[in-house]
Amino acid sequence: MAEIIMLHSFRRGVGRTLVAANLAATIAAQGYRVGLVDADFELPEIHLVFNLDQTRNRPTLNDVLWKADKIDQATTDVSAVLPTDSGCLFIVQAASQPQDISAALHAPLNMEVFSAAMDHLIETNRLDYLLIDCSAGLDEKTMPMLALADTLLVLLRPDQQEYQGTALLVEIGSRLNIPHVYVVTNEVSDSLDRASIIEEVRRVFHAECIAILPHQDLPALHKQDALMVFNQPDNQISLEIKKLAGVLTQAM
Amino acid sequence: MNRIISIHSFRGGTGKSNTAANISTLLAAQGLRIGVVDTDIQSPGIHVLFGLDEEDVTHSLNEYLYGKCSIADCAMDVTNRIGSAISGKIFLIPSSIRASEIARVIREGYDVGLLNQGFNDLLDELQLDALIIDTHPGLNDETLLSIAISDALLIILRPDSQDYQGTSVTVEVARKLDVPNLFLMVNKVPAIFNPKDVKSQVEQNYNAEVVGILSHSDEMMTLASTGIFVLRYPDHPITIELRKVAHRLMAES
Repeated sequence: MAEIIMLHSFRRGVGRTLVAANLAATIAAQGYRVGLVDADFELPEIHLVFNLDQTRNRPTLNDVLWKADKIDQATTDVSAVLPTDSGCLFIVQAASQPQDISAALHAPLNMEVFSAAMDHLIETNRLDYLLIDCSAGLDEKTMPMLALADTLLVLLRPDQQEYQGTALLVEIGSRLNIPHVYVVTNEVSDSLDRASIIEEVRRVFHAECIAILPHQDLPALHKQDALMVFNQPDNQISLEIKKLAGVLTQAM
Repeated sequence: MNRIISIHSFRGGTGKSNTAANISTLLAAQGLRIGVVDTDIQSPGIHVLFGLDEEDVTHSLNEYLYGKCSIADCAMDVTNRIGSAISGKIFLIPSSIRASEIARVIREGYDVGLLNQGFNDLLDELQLDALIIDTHPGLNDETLLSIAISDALLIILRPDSQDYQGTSVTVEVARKLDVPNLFLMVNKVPAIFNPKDVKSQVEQNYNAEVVGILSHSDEMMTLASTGIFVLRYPDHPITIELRKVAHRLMAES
């Protein structure tokens, strides 16, 4: 059975999608079969990283959830981006046109449909890991999805505005009995030292901080270098994501 | 004078809340009475900049939206919490940080018209000179309504191609909604960029006035929303630029 890893953040703009894409690609490059689902209906961006076309009549996760399309048709094999022969990476994109985003805002999530689609995705593609990139905030679609997670990765920047809400998310994760709830900090200034961040995360969130990504001017998601782990393998962010992938695949 | 000013960005992490808090402070420091409404219901944050904790908030915008209190009941005078004496007043109307209340308002929805009524009530009852609306990124109901009833809209973007695309969507929506004054501000500009080039490029791209170009600042990052930047660094180039932005927002075009 595949391990389901959800990526979440309380506020938007903390780099969740970039981390999700790079993490999924890293785990796949280790030889695993990995799925990456864009469940951020508010601002879907996973397709940008993998240059997936949204203009053709290709079904998206939105169509699976609200138009009864099959998840197989919404799945794209992007394993060609991997530098290795072993491992597979499958993407399920969400619809990004403004009219689709506004339609999704008001469409309720049917958890049975979502859950069956994820099961099907896992079985058909014999996935080892399924990563789900969620909408930020305490969103009505995201909250029930969290119940499927084996691991919840909560991203935040070291900014006070994110602390209260992130603490709530971590608490919700624990109450849902998600086996592993971890914190990943992003956009960390060089002036902060790692030990104090890990300590602060433990004190404020009672959770383990398993990756600390430094502040950098990040590549735009639709540029070729967005898959930093392959294009800039020695970059500090790439190294941290590789370590993170190692922790996640060993813990399970 | 522009009475309702919305601050928005299509993508997150552009510095909306910090800009809203700093502009409100600059205006209040000129002696004005300023209201700040946090309509980022699903991920509220601006209250932190004004030094508020969950326990400090007695009534939130969420309670007003369920009809449990008047909107003026939610207004908290935060003037004394910002760490410096100023001549005007700042009232914050916070969104709830309680999970149950956030979940309820998202699950059950509310009458969006109440927001419109609430903004007008605030202006009257608190005798405000201006109301600053801190919105949730993207284009949800609160955001669309805030944009539609604004006298001025400030859209914040970073100089990257994804923000450029998202901003096009917002600008298009704002034009359809006939916002009287549409302004852009470019934030977190890397030091290697020439501000003049960024300004002319963005103005040309959207055919709208750019009222500020703010460089990326380690001081802002290190402050990490623990306080109001313009008070902590009154002579910093960012403060000087924000002062220009605040002035421009209040003036008619």
